[in-house]
Amino acid sequence: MIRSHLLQISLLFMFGSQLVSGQRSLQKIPPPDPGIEAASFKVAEGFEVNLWASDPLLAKPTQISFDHKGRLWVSSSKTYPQLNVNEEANDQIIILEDQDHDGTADKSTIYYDKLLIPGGVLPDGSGGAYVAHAEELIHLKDDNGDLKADRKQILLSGFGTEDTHHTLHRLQWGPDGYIYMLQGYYIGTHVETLYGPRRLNGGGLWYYDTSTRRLEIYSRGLVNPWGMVFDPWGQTFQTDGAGGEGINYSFPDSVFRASPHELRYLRGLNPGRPKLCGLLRISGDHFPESWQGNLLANDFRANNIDRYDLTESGSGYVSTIKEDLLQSSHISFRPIDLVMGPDGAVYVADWYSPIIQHGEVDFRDPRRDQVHGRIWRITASNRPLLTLPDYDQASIPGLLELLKAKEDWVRLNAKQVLKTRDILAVKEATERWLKDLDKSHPDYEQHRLEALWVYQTMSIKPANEWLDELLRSPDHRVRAAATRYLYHRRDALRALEASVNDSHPRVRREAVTALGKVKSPSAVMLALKVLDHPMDTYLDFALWRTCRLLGEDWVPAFQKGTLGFHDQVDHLAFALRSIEKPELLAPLVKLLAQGSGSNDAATIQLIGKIGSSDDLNLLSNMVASGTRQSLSTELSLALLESARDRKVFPSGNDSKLQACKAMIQSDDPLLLSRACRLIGHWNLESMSDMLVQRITSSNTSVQGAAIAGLADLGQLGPLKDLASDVKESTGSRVLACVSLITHDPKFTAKIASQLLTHAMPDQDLEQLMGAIVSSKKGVSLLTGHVQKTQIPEKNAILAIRMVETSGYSNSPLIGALTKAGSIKASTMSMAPAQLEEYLSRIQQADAALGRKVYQRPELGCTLCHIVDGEGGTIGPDLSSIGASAPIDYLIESLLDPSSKIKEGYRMSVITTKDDSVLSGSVVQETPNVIVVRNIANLETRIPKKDIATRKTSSVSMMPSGLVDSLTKEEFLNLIRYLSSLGKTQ
Amino acid sequence: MKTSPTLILLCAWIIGSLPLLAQEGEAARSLSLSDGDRVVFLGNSFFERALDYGHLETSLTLRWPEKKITYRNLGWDGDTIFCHSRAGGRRRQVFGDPEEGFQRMTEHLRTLKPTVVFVAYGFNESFHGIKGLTPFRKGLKRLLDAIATHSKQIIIITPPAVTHHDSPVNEMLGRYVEVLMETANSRGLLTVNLFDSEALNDPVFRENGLHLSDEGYRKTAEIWAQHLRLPPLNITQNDLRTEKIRKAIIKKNTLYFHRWRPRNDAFVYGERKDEQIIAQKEPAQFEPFIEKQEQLIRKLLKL
Repeated sequence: MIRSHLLQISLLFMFGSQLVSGQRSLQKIPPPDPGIEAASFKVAEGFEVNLWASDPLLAKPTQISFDHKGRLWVSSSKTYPQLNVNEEANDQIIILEDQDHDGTADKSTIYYDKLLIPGGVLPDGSGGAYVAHAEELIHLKDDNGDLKADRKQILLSGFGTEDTHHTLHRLQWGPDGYIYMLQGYYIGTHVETLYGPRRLNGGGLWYYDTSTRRLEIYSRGLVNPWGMVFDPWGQTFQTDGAGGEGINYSFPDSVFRASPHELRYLRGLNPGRPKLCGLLRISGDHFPESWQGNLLANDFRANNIDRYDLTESGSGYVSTIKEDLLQSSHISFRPIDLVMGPDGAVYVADWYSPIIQHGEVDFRDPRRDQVHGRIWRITASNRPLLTLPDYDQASIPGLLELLKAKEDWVRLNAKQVLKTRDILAVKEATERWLKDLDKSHPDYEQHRLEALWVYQTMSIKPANEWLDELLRSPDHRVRAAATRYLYHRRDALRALEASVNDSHPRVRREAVTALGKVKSPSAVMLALKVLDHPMDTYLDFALWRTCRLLGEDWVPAFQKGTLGFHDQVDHLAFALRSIEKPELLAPLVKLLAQGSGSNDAATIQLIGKIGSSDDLNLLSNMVASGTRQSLSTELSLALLESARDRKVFPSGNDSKLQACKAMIQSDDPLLLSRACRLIGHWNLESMSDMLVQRITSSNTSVQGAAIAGLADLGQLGPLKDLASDVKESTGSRVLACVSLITHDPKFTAKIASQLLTHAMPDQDLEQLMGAIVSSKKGVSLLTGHVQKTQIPEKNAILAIRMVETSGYSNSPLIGALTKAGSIKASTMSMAPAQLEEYLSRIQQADAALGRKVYQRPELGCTLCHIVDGEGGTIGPDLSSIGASAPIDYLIESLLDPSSKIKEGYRMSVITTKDDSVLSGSVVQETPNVIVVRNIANLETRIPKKDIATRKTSSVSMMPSGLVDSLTKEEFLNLIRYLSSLGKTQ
Repeated sequence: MKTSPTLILLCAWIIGSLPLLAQEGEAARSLSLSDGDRVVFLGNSFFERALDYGHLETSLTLRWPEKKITYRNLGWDGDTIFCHSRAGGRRRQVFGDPEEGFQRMTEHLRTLKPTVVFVAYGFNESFHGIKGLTPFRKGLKRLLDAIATHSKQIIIITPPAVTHHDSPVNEMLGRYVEVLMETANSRGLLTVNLFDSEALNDPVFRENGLHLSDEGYRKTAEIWAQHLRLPPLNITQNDLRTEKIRKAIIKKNTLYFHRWRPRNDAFVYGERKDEQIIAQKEPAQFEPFIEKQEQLIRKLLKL
């Protein structure tokens, strides 16, 4: 029997992991021969892949970056994930060169070797480099050209280190000359700068101006962004190494998932995609025309390189998934970064490890690879390679000519090398170059934009007339980029007036964003004019954000009455709503009452969230009078949410009564249900008959609402009758129990024990047990009843699962249910010695049969886990678990779910002030309310003011013993199936 | 009568020192460390960056070579008297709440049992402008009260003025320095007012117009010695040996850094700690190495 040895196995994992893992690794981990890895590659038709560099030339790359001489700089960490006790930090920056131009590296130089887990390296165009490591951004300088750093300067310090693959990483030049760099979710950064401290909790994208030493946040959020790229017009895209939405279109002050304490997020362009690491934009003639502008990103867990195609849409983009560039079945192929090389080929940094990263595997697990690392080179067959321009020998005009190159990296290099030349000479040459540009060239507008970026890179202020020309460019992409330049200027109020009213939505969005940096009430007034044009998601977000960022500037002026919105009520309403403060609600309520507001649905929603009793009275009056029928869904929801989450009710008693009377006549079951709940929340006893009539309604949501409403009114008689009535359906009786448990646990436990003696649908049983476990009294009372009865085995098994995973893992109720259900010991057994045997047999197991095991209803896998878009969301999505989790992790998770709980899936146990217990995962949290989803997939909203205690449990929500009933073969097949998920073969 | 130039200089020195002597008396103005003292450096980047160079601690160490004094640097980049930088990403619900950082800092002091605490704050707070002055004064009092429950002596170090040519921050920074000095004087604390010390304005002493360079910290050690009237260096000038001691101090501080601020805090102490087993035991394993390094420093001092 599996469970009898569970303790032994867990102890083995805890204390004997090195021994066991070491032995396993001999069997499981492929030899590090690059030839074996290369043989696993399936590359898209028309392309080939070759090994460009391998250990010992380099080890453990974290970022690769070509300099203008065609040398590849590699940040390398053998120390990752954690420095050993008393070990000195000795991670390296390595420079790789292909001196004989045969398509493979032949020289490796250690540039610097005193680093602690460097996450990025960026050559500076003059033999030095910027490096992100430990908590710092540093600059290294080579004084004599021997490719050894002679001097180190700390530029910025205070980047968080709470999770070493979230620390500062992935440095790159923007076309504007700033350094862009990323950080992940688990860290808090606090950097002292000349402009004040810069703090960022959670993930985000930074930019740093090396000349003014200004450090700013570009965008916030994403769980662990490890890829970022610019298009030729300065628009930015990011990938998330721990998120699943593919390409994320970002812009200044945009906010994405997981940014702490933010109210609103933008979504990625490809929801449901695997986690991605690295991002590259294809440019240059070595790649075929059909690939130009496509993005490549590493699906590092499934050992693939994905391809995406971007097209413009409104102010944003649409991203389409195309055929993969490369697929591999080699478990140690971990593409961590990818860049375009000077020859126009794609270079892929391969971290090379069967273990992906931190969490699932111990830091000191011997299977972590700490010596290997590869650079793979992907070329298009039979297409000429590109040649490396000689930037150092080029004159200033020669470098300016390189700004016309199709290759994104050539233009970036040219600007960085220009930066090393005399500033006045560059300024004059650029002015001449601009005059001499061929106006009929199809890329003329883009050439002019590059000149602006030369100025920005070198901190030269462009002439106003010329900037105005770019702001009026016929190409909207150039207009957008010029508007972005104004964002960085922070004072260009007048210049932005035209951009806010631009014909293209992206230019308007850039203008609204840029205004967020102009600290004045007029900036908000101007930004709001964008509402006179069609809006979309990004525009709406940008305007909302700008209104909030400038709240301190315009709200006091508005309150003093010095900010006139004239008759533009929609502008006023948008601005007021964006702040979400009760003190700014009154004018919105007035607009709603006058019927002169715009987007009333949004105002109603906000009143539901933060409105006072008087504000809510307006809503109930509107329902009662039936004047705004089209808004009845929003009105009823706002009334319900304010009552449920905040316990704030309309002030007028008659208004409440009339509103409920109006709603209860509705044919719409949604409105009817809400009316039933409101009668309860508002304590309208005179309407209790209306509820009694509906507690047997054939519509279960109406029935549930009527039952809950009656319970709120304290009228338990009809509910008890319903619960005890054996002629009623089990579902109805269970619903009654759910509402009765808090009022009368004794009665409910008795009925529950009776219900348990008969076979019942899983869903009803889960609901019933969910009610019982929400009350400590209920659990102990039910134990007494169950001890005296016999119940079907299936009921007992399911009930035990509910009890175990709801914070009662040691309750006597489990023993009582085991006995009452006569649960037999399982037939399968596994001694620790057999673990090895299982592991050796996994490869022969049948994934297709395992899939059938996975889908068995009695195992309940699909209730909580998603595979390929199907299933419940209580547990982690398993769609690519095979690509991310080693087999021993899978086995251990199935045998002892509590030993490895995925972050974010820890069970919360919440006790309320009336002594109810709610356990499950927190699916939503707002300032007023927390929403918990329990194991039965039921969501409960708990007003925060009702919470007495809140803790996270070390017991998994996944029940232990789920696999007890499986045979050895079934168990192996199941593991095999899970380990195949997310892999390509 | 011919007056000796030496005498004139001596007189000038005495006269120049008179106001100081008259105000406080020499004993009150000078810092003296004793056997068994535990010195803690608490502050923002001023102390965290000092770790890389070791000059401040080396200077103090060399002045009492025969005494057993231990030093712990708790500097944290970007920190404030409210402990903004010390909350960390440990719990999601309170991501960045300085109150949690403040609690953690005071708990830390309780474990360290300091007898002398150097406090260097004020730069980051100054960006809150005029309206931040009152909270700063209150917060400073709370911080000093909290430290005073553990340590008998507190020394206030003010932030050096910003030297970056077009930075406007000095005016406001000066207002915050006034609060620091007033508070220190009213509590009778020793101070080193770096803000008013023009000696640090030379670009060679600065990394970026803001933070101190290697040379800047070396200079600051001299300023400390003057302002705190530290005893003269007992060790004969031997650069090689001093350098050896400084390197040993830097190494000790690096070890201690990993002891109190291990990387992967989320796994060692925070929300992800259940994912790891060994990681939580490792910080304490640095202790014997720190002790060994301190023994080495004392050995070097006796050579």
